[in-house]
Amino acid sequence: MIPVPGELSCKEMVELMNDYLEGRLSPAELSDFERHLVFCDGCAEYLRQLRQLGTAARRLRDEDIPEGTRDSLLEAFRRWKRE
Amino acid sequence: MIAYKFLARGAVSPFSGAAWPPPSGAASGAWVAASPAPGPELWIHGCRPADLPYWVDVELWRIELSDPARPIRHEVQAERGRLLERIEAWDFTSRRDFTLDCALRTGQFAGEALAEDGREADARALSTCRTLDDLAAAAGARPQEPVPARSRQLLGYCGDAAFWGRPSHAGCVSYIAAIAAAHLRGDPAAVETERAWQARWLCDRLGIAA
Repeated sequence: MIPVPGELSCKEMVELMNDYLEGRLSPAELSDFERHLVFCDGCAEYLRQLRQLGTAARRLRDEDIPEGTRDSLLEAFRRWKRE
Repeated sequence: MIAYKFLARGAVSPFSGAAWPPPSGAASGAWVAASPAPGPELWIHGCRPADLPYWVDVELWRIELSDPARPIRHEVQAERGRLLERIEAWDFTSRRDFTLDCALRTGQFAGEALAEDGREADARALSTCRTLDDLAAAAGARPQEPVPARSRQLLGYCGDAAFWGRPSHAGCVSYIAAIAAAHLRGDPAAVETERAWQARWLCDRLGIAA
């Protein structure tokens, strides 16, 4: 694939997904990001899934998470931060 | 300023999912702000005629953007916007024709590459394609001899364009054509040239002053 200035790759799109959802992209980045979504079904679908995940996660309460699962998740996050 | 905006079916923003208030009779739609208190990162987006091929979707609307609107990349941004009228000429038939023409352009680019490689018969087969089935067959034909890398890549784009060449994927196929043009010329700037051709196609067909 020939690199085109101003065109984001799918890998770059994935890296920007959370910033997009949290409104942290600059106007130029936002334009590049949304332009990619016009032609890339894969990235559009990934964004849709991330939005669904965010909606579902916001509905979760602390007591919805089994204690063992919560402990193993916290441990995984701590390990990831240490690394 | 007067600009244009592609929306999903039902005058819905394809990215935010927000529904735009439609015009009623002779009255324009209500003004829409990107947020109750517009900040520097939140804008209403519109297209100039040359921007159209980058944003194709199911519906096309003529819109008014509040002043000052500023150009950025392939769009213009303003604090507020409102729908003026739907451009009815952008319908299933024009989407289908635009998608087909972009796919066939991809075939022509592959044909040019094959002709430069001395593969005249294969080039002719691509340049005479009139339908997506023709294009798929020509792109998928088993060559007698190995095909050089650039032509092979362009034949791959033809296969992609034929596969995705439905009106619902006009944005994808027009992108494939633009990338194929850049690959043929070995120059990323050819993307802009091909997008300009697509913008002229849209403006001519839809009666938009370029």
